[in-house]
Amino acid sequence: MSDDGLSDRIAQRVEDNPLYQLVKLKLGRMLHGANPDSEDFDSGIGVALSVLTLPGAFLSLILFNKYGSLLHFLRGQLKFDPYAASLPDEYLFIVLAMLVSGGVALWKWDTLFLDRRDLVNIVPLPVHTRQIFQASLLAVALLALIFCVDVNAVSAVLYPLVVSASQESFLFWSGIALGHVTAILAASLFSFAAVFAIAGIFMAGLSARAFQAVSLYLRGAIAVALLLLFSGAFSVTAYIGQGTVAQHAALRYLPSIWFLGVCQWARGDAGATFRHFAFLGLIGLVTTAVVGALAYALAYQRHFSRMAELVPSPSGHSLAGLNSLVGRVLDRTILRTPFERSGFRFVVRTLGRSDRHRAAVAVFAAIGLVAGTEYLLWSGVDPPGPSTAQFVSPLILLYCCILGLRYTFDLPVELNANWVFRFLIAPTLEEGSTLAAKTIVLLLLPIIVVVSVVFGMGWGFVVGACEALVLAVLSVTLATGIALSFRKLPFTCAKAAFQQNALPKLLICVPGIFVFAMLPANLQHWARSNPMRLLVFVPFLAVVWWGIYEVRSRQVSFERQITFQETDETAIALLNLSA
Amino acid sequence: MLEVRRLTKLYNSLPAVQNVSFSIAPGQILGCLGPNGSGKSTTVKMLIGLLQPSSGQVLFNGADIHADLVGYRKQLGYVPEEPNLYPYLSGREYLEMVGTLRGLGRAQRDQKIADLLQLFSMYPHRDGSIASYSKGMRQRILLIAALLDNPTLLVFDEPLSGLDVMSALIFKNLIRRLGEGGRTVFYCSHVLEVVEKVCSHLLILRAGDVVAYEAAADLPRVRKEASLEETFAHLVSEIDAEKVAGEIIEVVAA
Repeated sequence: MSDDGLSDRIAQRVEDNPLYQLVKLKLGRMLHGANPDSEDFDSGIGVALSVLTLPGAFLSLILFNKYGSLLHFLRGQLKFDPYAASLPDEYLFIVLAMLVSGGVALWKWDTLFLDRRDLVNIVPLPVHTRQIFQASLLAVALLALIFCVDVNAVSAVLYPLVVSASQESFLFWSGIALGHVTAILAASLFSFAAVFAIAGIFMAGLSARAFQAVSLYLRGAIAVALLLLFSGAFSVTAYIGQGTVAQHAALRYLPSIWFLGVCQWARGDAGATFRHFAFLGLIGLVTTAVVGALAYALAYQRHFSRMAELVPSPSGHSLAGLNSLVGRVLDRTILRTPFERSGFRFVVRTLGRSDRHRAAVAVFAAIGLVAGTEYLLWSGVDPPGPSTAQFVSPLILLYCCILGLRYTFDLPVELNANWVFRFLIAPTLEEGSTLAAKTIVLLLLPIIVVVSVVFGMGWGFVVGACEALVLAVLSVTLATGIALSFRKLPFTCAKAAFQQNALPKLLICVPGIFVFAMLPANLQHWARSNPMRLLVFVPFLAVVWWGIYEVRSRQVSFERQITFQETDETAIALLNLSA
Repeated sequence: MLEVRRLTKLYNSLPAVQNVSFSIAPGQILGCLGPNGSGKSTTVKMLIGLLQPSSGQVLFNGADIHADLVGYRKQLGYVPEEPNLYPYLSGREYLEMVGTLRGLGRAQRDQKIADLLQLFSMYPHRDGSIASYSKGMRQRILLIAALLDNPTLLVFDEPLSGLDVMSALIFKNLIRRLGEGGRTVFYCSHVLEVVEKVCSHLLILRAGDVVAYEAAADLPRVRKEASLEETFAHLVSEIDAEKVAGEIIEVVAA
């Protein structure tokens, strides 16, 4: 019998196994996402897997500068010990692995558990429910493994090469590689399993409706925790570099430091403290995996076996207030056309009820919150007036929220629903960008009000009023600017413009924060003793608004008209000459 | 033989279905009719074992279906109301998965899938993703999946939804032939004329109760009505359809 024939038979036997089919189905379901009817996911998952390798790759490349022997020679660092120097970097990799893997678990949160589609398609087939559970659990484990390997794949190869660039010993390289790979894989798996376990515990403990209600907040809290872990990593690396980890008792409660212990243990270089950390890391990994599996079993028992009895209901809030006094005031003052009024309500209700869109906004808001808080904590305060950092923090939050909302507007909802708008809205309508800008500003108004009240209570009415004015003007300006080319009713077009040139756009966002937050905050700080100094903003704003006006006036009518175009137009139209 | 005895399902102590009893002998096609909220879907879910009844029993060939659910489902073909399939699979992949989970041998499975895809005019689309299928195409895939393992009991929940005229015609004849071939068929629908033409017996539900359970040919005669439509309207309607239509016109014109 030939090898090919044998392997074909083995492959066929595996494929004919029901467990294999169920695992394949569940894995496909998780990889392709919860959104039912999009065709875009095949390319999407490939791109996502590639993008997820980038953070580790970037960090490895950045560190090349630190370990190159020529550079050490030029700097006069003749006694450079790469082994010791790599420890703080190793910690950064561990935190990065935890951040990305935890983020992936949050991203796939909705698909981790079985749903109504599985109930209708799989349960009526002659398959034991026990087998469905086993297959689902196995698929989740495989998903965790795929993403954890993917997230760390490039850095697992690149980083040991970078560290051992100045060393000729294979033993040195293998030690670094073993420690690095073991630690980042274990940290990734721990992070994924921890998120999975938290989801499972809440799902097992709460009713389906209650879980649906808290799900977004829970995800938001986990995202904030992961971002805090990341933002705090740089201070921890300082302690690691100084060799004072053992002196900071609080550090032992950080899971990320446990995996630094795992790294040292795998390198065969762990002292008593790191051996203890390694022990905690391995115990933590096993515990989260076991708790996750048990919670999954309980959640399966509680929810999936009773899913047929539940009536699906939309999540989120009724937002009845939109029709109340606030709604009427907005209709008379800001939302002037029927398109703006109905469009605004549609956007607010979608954001309030669609998990996907709420999650996207929450991620940006969480980044803004963490970045703003971190900036405040690092910069300290400067009594008696508000410090520059206190002016910067709310601006960072607003900046992230504005970008988040703009990004979210491009995420389509159920496509079958957009025919209503296509049918009712005149194709020549040019109000898409105005609606987007107004909606962004109105949604951020509560933040502006709260921040201004806090400033007013802390430093007096004038400071509060000036803060409100600056935040409002800057928000309106940025929202108008980034909505300039927006030609849609939010959420109703499948053509996701953000996918085109996503990386350059992302890179522009980083310096954008200096223009939107740092520069104005410094000006505000300078003007705190004399509010009239705020007039310094006028020339800057005049230039920006002139730019907006120029761009708008150069747009031809077609570029402003609303679109529901669901696919990219082909760049070249081919003639059918065979006809 | 499918036998349902005093089936009751309570949701938060509110009855969705109460004391529903009927039986379907091999070769019989029982049509289930009722307005929205009458308990049709709940009954279907209990028939296929998705829902555990609060009280009562579903017996297949004399045995409670929950005693050996997997064995029961091996003999069951089910078409749900909504063609809620996995969009990233192709039609062929979905059917192969169903065939494997039903324990069909590879050669038999592949041959049957190919033949049924041809007969349901789905063969040219077999490798396209389900996301690109119309509702009718998805419905046809579900019908093939239900028939794949030659089931002795078939439960159809609005199977004609989205099917084009020709497919619907084929399907109606298919159901009749399945009944003639000795299969037991439970057919749930809103479409009175199809049920009238296809089913040998009728079950009419209203607010979870059985309001009629007769041979299809006898029902209007027993109820002294001219047609099934009249019988149905008389049995389940709590409102005057003519009057409501008039009121709608008034509101629209206002």
